[in-house]
Amino acid sequence: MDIAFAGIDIAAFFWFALSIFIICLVLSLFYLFLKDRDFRKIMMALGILPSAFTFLYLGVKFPPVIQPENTLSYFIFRGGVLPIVVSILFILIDRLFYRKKDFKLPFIMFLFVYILSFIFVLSNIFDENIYSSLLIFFTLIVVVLCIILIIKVRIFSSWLFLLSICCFAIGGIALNIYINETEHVANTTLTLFSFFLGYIFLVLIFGLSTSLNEKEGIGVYFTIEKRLKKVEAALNESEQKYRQVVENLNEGIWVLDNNASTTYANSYVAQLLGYTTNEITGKRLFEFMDDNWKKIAEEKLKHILDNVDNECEFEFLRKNKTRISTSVRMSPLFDVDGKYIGALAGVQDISNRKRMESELNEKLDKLQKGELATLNIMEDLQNTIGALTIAETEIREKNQELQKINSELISARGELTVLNRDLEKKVKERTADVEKLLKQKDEFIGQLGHDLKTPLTPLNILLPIVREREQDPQLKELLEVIFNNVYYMKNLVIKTLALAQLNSPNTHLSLQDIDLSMQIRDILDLEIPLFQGKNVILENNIPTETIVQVDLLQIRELFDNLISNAVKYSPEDEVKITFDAKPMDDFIVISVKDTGIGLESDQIRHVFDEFYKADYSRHDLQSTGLGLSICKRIVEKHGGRIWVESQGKGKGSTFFFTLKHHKRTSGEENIICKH
Amino acid sequence: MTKTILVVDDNPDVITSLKTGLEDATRVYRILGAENGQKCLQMLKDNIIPDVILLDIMMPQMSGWEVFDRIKENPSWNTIPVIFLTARTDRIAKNAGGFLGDDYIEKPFEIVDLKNRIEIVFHNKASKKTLIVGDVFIRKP
Repeated sequence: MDIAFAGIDIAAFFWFALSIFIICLVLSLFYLFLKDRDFRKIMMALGILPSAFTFLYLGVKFPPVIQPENTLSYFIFRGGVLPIVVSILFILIDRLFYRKKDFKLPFIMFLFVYILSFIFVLSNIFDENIYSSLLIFFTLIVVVLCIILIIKVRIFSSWLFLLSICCFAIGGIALNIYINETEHVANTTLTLFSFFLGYIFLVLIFGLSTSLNEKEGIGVYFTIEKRLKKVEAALNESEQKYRQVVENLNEGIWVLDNNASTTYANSYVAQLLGYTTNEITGKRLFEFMDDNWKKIAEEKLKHILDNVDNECEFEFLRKNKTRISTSVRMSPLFDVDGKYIGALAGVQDISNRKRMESELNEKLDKLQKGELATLNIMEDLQNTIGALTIAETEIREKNQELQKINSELISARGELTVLNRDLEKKVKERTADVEKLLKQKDEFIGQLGHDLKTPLTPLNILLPIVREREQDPQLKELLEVIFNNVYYMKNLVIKTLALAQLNSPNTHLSLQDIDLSMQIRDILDLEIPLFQGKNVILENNIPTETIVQVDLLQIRELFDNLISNAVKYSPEDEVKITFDAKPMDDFIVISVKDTGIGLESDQIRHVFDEFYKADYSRHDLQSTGLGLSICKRIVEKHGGRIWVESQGKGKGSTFFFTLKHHKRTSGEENIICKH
Repeated sequence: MTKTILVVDDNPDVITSLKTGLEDATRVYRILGAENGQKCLQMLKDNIIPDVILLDIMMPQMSGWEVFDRIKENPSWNTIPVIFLTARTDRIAKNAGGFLGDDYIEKPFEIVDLKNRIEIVFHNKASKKTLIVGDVFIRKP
């Protein structure tokens, strides 16, 4: 049965089919013989190759005469269509498993389907109907899968792929119809056109530029060189970086191959060993060690894969034959396939640490020796302690005796306490008695004074009158004696009373602020008539505004006594009395200096005693021996101190006394102080 | 003009000696004596008004303080100046004599001293009168 192709230029068809064949062949071979071919590319080549030959057959034998007896041409024709479908299947599988790195499973699947489809073709080679329906069936499966693919993997090439599949399907169906109904010329054209379009799309898929998607299309392989260069440059750069890092590392990096030869050593290692890096490179690790260490190193390298204790201490031999202690940490190196290719060693200089360790050991040694010595001392001490223990027991015994004595003492003390208590009681009673007596004394003196003073009054008044009126000189002389004695008695009574009063605890001071300088002036004015014809020069050097808080009457008495004392004990007709005052801390020191007979050191001691007279031998009716005692009491009552200084007999004397310097504060005036 | 001085003291010797001392020596004073407080007050009641009273403090029966109070209570007597004569030297006596009376003098005293004080009291009394008048005058409005 001849098949006629109406309206088709046979020659054009031939060249068309031939060109498709060449394209397919080139593509297939390209994939087959790619340097980095993998399953995918083989699959692709296998898928495309049959199609190429199909087109070759079509081109040469066109219009094909399909007859049952022409087995070879039939076989090729039909067998050529099937691989197209299979190759499409491959691409489908490829796409589905695209994201999986392991491509073994899809490849096996592909091979399985590939072989299966040939078996189908061969077994049904003469059954036209089965074959054509099978083709339709396959085509449908592929279309459905294709749609799934598009839904799942939304990439541009999926669309192209779908188009390509559709074209093949249309072409396949048209061809089938053509075979069965030979009069459909148009179908032949459709078949060829569809196949052509399908192949164009396929080529497009594989030939897509990387710009669309780097992982897609055949363009990947054309740009791979460029990319490789880029990668290399990046690699170089990063290697440079790492090299720099490694070079500047404060740790030695030593890379060995599986023969323990040095492939790389950084400058730290070189410096450590005293070589240059170039000198080290290529030499074996063991060349830098003595025999002992060599063995250890070999052992270590052998067990490097066991991953057991890869850090150890090594002693290397330097170029100048000195030794250096290091700490080496070794780790194995593997290539891409996981094969052991050598070792990486990190080297650290630990000579300092070693030295310190040895020093430490030395010290420890010394310490141990010291400890031994201490132990010896301890032994001695123990001996001593033994002796001490004996002594202690003795002491304890003694102590017990002492305790006994102590207890006796305590009981004695108890008795004493009782006695003491009685004593205290008695003392209190006595004190009360004494106080009572003292009070009685004061009262007695007061009464006595009063009783004495009253009878003295008429005597004091009348005697001067009588003495004046008496004409008889002899009687007058006697009256003078009486007068002097009465005068003395009067003084004695007054002064005794004054002293008794000052001694009495019931006497209060009536304090008031006075200007000392002014007061002295007043006192001097009053005193002048009492100087009994002596020429007395008074000098008041007390600065004005020297304020003291005193009992005015008593202070007058004080100055009275001091002045009369000075006048009394000045044998010369002329006496000079100088008053002065100087502040000293809280006090004012007032001095009364005279040019009198002065005092001897013995007299200075007793001058303030009651009834003390400088000259006992003289019967002195002028002096009661109480004036300075009164002065002392007055000063003491005011919280001050009185003393006398003299250069000696005939050199005058100076009386000093202190009074509290009053610094005026508000609300302090006229306070009555109890002393 | 002779001034009258009334001396009140339980010791008659004091009166006598003062009579001698003040009267005889100066002849410008007339001295009257009373041995106790009652006598003194009786004399005042008898309208014997002295120019000054010398009053002893420590007397039996009636003390000087009491007499002083009586004198000051009576409006016709309270202008008479009083000088206390005292043997007590304690502060209370001094203060009382100074504050209450016109003056005080301590036994045994010098006759000159007493005379001085009496004169001062007389002088003060004279000036005091005018002072009182002035005082009243000032207070009136």
